Amino acid sequence: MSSIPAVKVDHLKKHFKVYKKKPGFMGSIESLWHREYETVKAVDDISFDIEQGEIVGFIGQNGAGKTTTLKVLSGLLYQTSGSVSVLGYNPWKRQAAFQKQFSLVMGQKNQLWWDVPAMETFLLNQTIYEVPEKQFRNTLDALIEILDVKDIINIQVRKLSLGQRMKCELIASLLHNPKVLFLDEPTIGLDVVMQKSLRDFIRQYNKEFGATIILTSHYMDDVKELCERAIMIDRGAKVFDGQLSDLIDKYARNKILSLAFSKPVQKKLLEKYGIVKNWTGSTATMLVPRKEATKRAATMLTDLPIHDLNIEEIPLEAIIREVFGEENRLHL
Amino acid sequence: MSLGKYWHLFWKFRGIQLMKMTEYRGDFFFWSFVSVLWTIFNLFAFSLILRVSGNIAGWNQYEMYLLLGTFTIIDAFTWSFFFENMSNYTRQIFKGELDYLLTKPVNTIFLLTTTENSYNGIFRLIIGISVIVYSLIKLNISVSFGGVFLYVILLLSGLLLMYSCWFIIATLAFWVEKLDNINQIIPGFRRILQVPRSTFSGVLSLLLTVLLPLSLIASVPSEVLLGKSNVTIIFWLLISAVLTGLAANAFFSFAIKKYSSVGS
Amino acid sequence: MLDQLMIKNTLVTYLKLLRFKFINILQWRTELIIWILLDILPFTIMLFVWKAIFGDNIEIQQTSFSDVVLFYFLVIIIQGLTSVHFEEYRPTEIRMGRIDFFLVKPYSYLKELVVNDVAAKFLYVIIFAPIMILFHRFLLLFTSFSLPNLSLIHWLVFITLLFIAYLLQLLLSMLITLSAFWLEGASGLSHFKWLSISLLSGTLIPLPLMPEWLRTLTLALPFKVFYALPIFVIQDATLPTMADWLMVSLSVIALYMTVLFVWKKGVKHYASAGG
Repeated sequence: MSSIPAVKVDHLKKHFKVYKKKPGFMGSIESLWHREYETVKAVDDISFDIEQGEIVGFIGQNGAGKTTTLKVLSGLLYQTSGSVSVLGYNPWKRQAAFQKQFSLVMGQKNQLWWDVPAMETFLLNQTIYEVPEKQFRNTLDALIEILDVKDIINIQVRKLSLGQRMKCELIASLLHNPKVLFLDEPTIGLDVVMQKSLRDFIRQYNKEFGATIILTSHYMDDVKELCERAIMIDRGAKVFDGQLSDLIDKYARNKILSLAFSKPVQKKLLEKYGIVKNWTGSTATMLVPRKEATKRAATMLTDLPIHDLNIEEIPLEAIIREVFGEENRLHL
Repeated sequence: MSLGKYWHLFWKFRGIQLMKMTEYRGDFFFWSFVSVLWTIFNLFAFSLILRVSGNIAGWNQYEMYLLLGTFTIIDAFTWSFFFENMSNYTRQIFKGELDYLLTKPVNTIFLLTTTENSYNGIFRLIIGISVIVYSLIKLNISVSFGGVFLYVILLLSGLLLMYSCWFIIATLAFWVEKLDNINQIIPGFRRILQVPRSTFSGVLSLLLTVLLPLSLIASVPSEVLLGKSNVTIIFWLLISAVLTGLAANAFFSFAIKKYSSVGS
Repeated sequence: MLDQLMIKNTLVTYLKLLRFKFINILQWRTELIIWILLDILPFTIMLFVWKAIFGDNIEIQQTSFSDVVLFYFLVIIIQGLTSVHFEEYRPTEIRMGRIDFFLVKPYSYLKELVVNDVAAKFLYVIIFAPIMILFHRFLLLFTSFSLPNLSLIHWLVFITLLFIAYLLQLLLSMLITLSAFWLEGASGLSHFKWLSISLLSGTLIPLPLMPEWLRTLTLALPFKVFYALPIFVIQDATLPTMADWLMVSLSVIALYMTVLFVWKKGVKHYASAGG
């Protein structure tokens, strides 16, 4: 394939104004003629390239700017400054040729027709995207097969469960074989089993169709399992871009030691090995520097009456939480 | 995308709406019944006035009924097409849900205009046409094929004019936080369509003929059937319909640009 | 002493509630202005229609053009002050099970319906009054109209009738709202309310110009309290008869009992259906 990146974002900024409402009775009266606005920097100078066929995860807290970035890439929002290009197109022009090659799936909004079976939306999208009959049938059959939804596509959408609906949403968005796929919180509100099956599907779709996928999610498992590369956004700025394992190396300076003792051990005794997070006398959890974790565990095994010991990585969620929560940063 | 595709899409939407209608048959019958009641009520209200006066602004009883028949047809479109689509449009603006529509490789105004419809207006449409035919028989007027053709063209222009005004007002939803009755504004002007344009005099006449030609929408096509048409006014209806259509289109592009630069 | 304190406390509670509701309703001010203008518009068109009809005639069936104008002006004012619309959106609340909040609080849903509408009406009148003064100026461009000699009694009766009309509208709207306990599309019933009021209360056309049968029907039914009776008081200085008062009072009582009954049945139905 060509070496042109599928997605190119260069010094993207997106600012907008919001209206501040004042509380109380007088506030309501005052807002009749006077309104105050403030500028929110949803995206503030972000740059990155994404190669064709990559799966990239956007991580960040709510309001960090993930969805705004996706919307600019979809041509829904016009950037304040900077440039974006997707498959060589300027998304903002919203040319049909571009729109036929990408898809946006939003977990919190639906495009399926509520009162009729999902199949009707599929057929409608076939017309809208001008998908030839043969290609349409092949793709549809393949997607139905992978997602295992043969029995539900002829039932009214409103009667389906959230997970079933999301599967149908995905099919509706993929029938035109988009080369670029933007998934905004695709697993939101789904149970663990359904999350996993959607994840498996996204991975398989990426392999079979070679599609470039950008995914935002606040379920870390989505990102951990699907994406080799993660871009972390905080308050509109990019704070990390690289392999997930590097993220862990960079920010997780500690590992977690879980201990169970055969007889009570005093807290003071433990404190010289690391930071004690939790202590009951017969059990304890501690943070120890990553690089020395094994060595210290070995020392402790000889020094203390330990009958069980466990060394774990700090969960990704906690890393993210601590990266973004300034005051806790020191403890990592 | 070719014209044929749009034609195909248009009927695809009608099909889906038909499925929805059969899904909620009870609603369909209830609302059809309500709309028939209001239609009869409206004809009855005017019959009360005509009983007193014999004519309104020079239009005799059956000429008035013909006008009201034309209005009834427009009313059927008002509620079954315009209201349904515009409600959907403004709801999507207020909830910030236009996104999916804008990513589709189809003209957005086309989607906003044709996606929705209800079938409740069918009986209203039938009543409207019947009233017109009945009035023509009572007036002993025979209409040529060309007359009917011109009537339909002018009726469609009137609908375009009204819809474009509606679309412009609905598009204002981008600038307001919420406005529950935004789609009641144009229907609120319907009374203007129910009376002959000669009812209005002075400044109001000028306003409703030239500036905002709402008084022409039902009157001008009806005049064609009644053989009292005025060529200048016919042309003005056609031109103003096209102009408002273009204005609505331009305003939408402007609004989308604004939406895209301001939204989050 | 104790009773006075209790009354005072209750009053304070309701004033607080009204104030809170008022703040909430303020956000609908633009909607209210639009509704008022949209209500005035059709009547303005009707004035042009009647102007065209009267032409050079001074009177038609003993009714002058200025009588007709005054009639429509009164209709708009009465409509503004007494009409109630909450049955158009409240039923969804019941259908969606959102009235649970009210069932667990010492503040009944029926009270909520009234308090909310009274607060809304208050805001409505604040906006409505200046617009009506302007509209009155506008009408003077067409014709001058003078009221008959009215005593204080006439005005008191007029206000009482409007109050009863508002009360009846509240009760009718409540009844429709409560039917949502059983009916899916309860808000659609509001059309029947408006149809019957429009048809039977004497708003369509001045009573003297009505066909005999419609006039008889209007005068025989309690719907006349909505428009015909108050308009009589102002336009003809005619006070309602004892029979009128009796009919109107009985309607209020009957409707009130019905609402209470339906509410009790409704809550029972709601509870047993498990939302």
